Amino acid sequence: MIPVTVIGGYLGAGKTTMINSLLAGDHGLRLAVLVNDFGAINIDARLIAAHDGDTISLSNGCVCCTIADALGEALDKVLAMAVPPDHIVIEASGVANPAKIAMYGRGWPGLCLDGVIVLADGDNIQAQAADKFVGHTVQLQLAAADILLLNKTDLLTGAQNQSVMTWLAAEASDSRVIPTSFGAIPFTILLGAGGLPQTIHAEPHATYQTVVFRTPRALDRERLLARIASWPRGVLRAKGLVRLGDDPVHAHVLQLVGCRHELSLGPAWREEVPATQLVLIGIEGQIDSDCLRASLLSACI
Amino acid sequence: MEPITVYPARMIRTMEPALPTAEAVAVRGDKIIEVGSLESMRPWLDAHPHTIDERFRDHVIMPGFIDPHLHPSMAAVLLPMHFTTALEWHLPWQDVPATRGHNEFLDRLKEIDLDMGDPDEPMFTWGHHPIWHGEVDRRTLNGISANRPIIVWHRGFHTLVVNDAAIAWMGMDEADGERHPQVNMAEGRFFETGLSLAYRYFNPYILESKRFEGGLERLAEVVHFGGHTTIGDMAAGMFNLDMEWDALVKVLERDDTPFRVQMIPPGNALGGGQKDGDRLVQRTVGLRERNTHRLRFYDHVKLFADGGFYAGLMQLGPPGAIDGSHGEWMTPPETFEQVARAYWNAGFKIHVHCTGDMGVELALDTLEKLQWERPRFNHRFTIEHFGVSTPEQVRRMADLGALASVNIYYVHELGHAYWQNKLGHERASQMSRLGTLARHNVTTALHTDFTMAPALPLNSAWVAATRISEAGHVMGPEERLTLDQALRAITIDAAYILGLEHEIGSIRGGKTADFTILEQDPYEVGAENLREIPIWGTVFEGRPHPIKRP
Repeated sequence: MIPVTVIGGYLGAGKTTMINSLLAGDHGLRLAVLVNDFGAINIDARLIAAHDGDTISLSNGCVCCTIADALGEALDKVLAMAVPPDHIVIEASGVANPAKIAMYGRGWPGLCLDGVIVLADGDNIQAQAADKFVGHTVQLQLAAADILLLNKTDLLTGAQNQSVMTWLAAEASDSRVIPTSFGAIPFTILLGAGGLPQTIHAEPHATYQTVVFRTPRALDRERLLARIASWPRGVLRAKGLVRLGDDPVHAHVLQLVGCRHELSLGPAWREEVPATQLVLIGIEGQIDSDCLRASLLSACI
Repeated sequence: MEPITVYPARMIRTMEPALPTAEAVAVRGDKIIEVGSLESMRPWLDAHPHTIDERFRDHVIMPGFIDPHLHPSMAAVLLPMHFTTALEWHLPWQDVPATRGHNEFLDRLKEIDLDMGDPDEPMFTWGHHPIWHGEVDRRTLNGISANRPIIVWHRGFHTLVVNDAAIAWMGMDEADGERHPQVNMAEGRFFETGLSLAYRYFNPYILESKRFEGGLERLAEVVHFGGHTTIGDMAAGMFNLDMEWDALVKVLERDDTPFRVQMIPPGNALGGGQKDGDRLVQRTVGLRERNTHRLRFYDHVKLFADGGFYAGLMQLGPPGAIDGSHGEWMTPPETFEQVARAYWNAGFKIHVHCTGDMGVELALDTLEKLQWERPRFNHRFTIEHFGVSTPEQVRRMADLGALASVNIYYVHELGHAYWQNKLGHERASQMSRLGTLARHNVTTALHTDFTMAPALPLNSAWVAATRISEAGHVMGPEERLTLDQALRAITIDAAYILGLEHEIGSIRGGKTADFTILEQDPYEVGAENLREIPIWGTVFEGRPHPIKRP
C-alpha cells in the first residue's frame, strides 16, 4: 500500500509553494505529486529529467502529474509506473473538500491514507471563511484537516497571530494547528513516512521534538487508545509497531496524524522478538517527553 | 446556377415580426431567396428557373429549431443504455413509458432482460431514482438475473448499483470494494468518490470507440427527431477532445446529417489555481483549425460557476436549502474571474454555467467588474441553466447586457421534488424564471442540456409556456412565457445566444434555408398542446430530411 497525503486549502494558502519544496526537497523519498495544473509549479530546469505531456519526471526520482479532472485515472497511471513511488501527494483544488479527496487514499486499490494537511493563509483566512461565495467551502476545508498549517505568519504581528490561532482553534476544533511561514515544515510532519529521524531542524515559528518509546511489554488495546485520546494537541505524528496483549502473533501499526489515529493489523512477528517501538513528533513546549512515555507505560499490561 | 425551389405551405411562421406569416418560401441552394406568396415572389421566379415543390402544401413551416446547449458526448455514452426513468421519454426508436413504483421498476428491469438477445451482454440502465422507485440493492438485482451483469445508474448519476454478475464481469476484487468508504459491497452500491472506482472498470466498455460511435449515431437521430437544425455542444471535449473529435467528425460530418454543431469548449480545466490566461485563449482559438462544415469552434467559450442542478449542488444564497445541504463551486471565484477576464479581453462571447443564485451572483459580479475595466457592447455574456435566481439579478442582467439560456425542464421534473425537499414552494415555483427575463427584455433561449432533459424543443416550449410540473401543478404562473416568446426561445432568440442570428433562427430572404416542418400550427393549437405537435422532419441547408417512422 502506498501512503497518500492530501494537501488542501483555499487559493493563495501556499499549496503550490509547499509542493514546489516537496518536489525539490531532500527527503530521500520518491514522491508522486498530483496537481491540478502545472501552471504555477516551479521546478528547477536542471532537475527535470523528462517532460511528457501530463507528467514531469525529476532526476531525484520524483514525478509530478496533472489530474485533468480524473483523479482515479491519474492515480492508476502513477500506480502503473515501472517503479511505483514511495508516497503520493495529491493537491486538492482550491474549492475541493480535502475530505472528499482523502476518500481516494482510503479506498483506491493499492493506496492508504496517510493524512490530510490543510493550509490557511494567516492574513486572509478569517475573511475567506466569511466570504459570501466561498465561506462554507473554506470552513469545510479547515474542518477536514488532520494537521492545519497556519501559513504566512511572517505577515502577522504577534497579536494578530494570537487572535487568528484562537479563532482557528474554535473553527477546526479537532485538528492540530501549526503556525508557519512559506509552508516551511519538516517533511516528516508532512509525510510521516520513512524512518522518522531523531532530530529535526528548528523552524522559525515552531520547533519540534521527537519522543522515542520502546518496551518489550505488551500493551492493552483499550487502554492504549484511551491514552492516545488524552495526549496533548502538540503531538502531530506518531508511528510505529505495537505489541498488543490480545494478539501474540501479529505486530500492530499505530499511525497518528494530527487529530486522527488508527491502530491496524501489521505483519506477524515470526522470528522477531515482539516489542513496541514508537516515534512521536510534537511541538516543543507543547509536549513533555516524560509525560508521553509515562502515558504509554501505563497502557502496558 | 441551381434552379429555385418554391415550397408553398399551409402556413409559414417566419419568427420575423416584420412579416410574421407567409404562404411560400423560395430556396436556392442553401439560402432563402424570398418568403411571401407565389404572387409576391413573382419577379424572382420570372427572372430565374424554378420549380414548385408541393410536398409541404399541408404543413406548417417554422425556422429550424435550435438547442444552444446540449452534450453530444454525454448522450453518446447514455443513449446505448436502457432508460428506466420515472418520466416518459420519447426517443426515435422507442417511447419509454414512465416507470413509477418499486415493483414496476423491477418489472421494467425484467422486461429489458427478456428483450436483450445476448444473455451475457451487460445491462446498463439509467433513470433509477429512489423517490419514485425505492431503493434497490445487489440482492434485488440478483433476483432479476443471476447471469447477466446489471448496472443500475441513478437519474442524476449520484449512485450506481450492481449485481453479482456485474462484479464478476468487472473483474473487481470484492476486498477493494469492501475497503472503500464510499462503496457498500454488500448492497452493491457505489456513491460519490466510490463511483470513480466503478468507472475504472466501466470506462473501457462504455467509452470504447465502436460503442461511443453507435451512441453518437443515436444522438444524431435524437437531434433530428426533435426537429433541430442547429445545436450547441456546450462543453465540447468533456471526456477527451481528441477521442471525441474523431468520433464526432466520423459520425456527424456526413452529407446526410441534417444539422450543424456549434462547438463551445470549456475555457479551462475545472478546479483552481492561477491560470495562464493567454495560453488558455491561444489554445481555445487554435481549436478552430479543426473546423469542418458542420462542426465549428468559434469565438464562444464556456465557463463554470457552481455545481450541477440535478445533483443538488447549486450554490444557494439565503435562506439556503431546507435540508441544510450546501452546493459546490466548480471553479474558485478568483480563478473564474481571472479566466473570464482573459476571454473577455480577447473578445470572446462567454457562457457561464450557473445553477444557483450564488452562481448567478458570481457571474454578474464578474461581468460588472469586466465591464468597468473594459466596457464592451454586444458581448453576449450568457447565464446558462439559471435554476435558482432572484428578480433583482434579472434586472442586473438587463443592466449589464447579459443574456439567458435556460433549462426550463427543471420546473417540470424537479419543481415538485424541490418544493418538497430542497427549496420550498416560493423558490421552487420560480426556478428558471422566464417571465421576469421577458419583462426585462433579456434575450432568452431554452435549452435541454440533453441528456438532462429530453431534446425536444416543442416540449421545452410547452413547459416554458405552461410551467406544469410532473406532479400536475402549475409552478409560478407569472414566470410563464407567452406562446410567441416560447417559440422565439427555440428559434431566433436561441440563434442570438449562439451568435448566429444573422444566418439562422428565422425565415427571411438571405438566411440559410433551415426549416422545421410541422403537421400543425403551434399558434393554432395553443401552448397546452405544443408538445403533441407531430414533426414531419426538417430542411437543412435547403435539403428536406423527413423523420423516418419506425
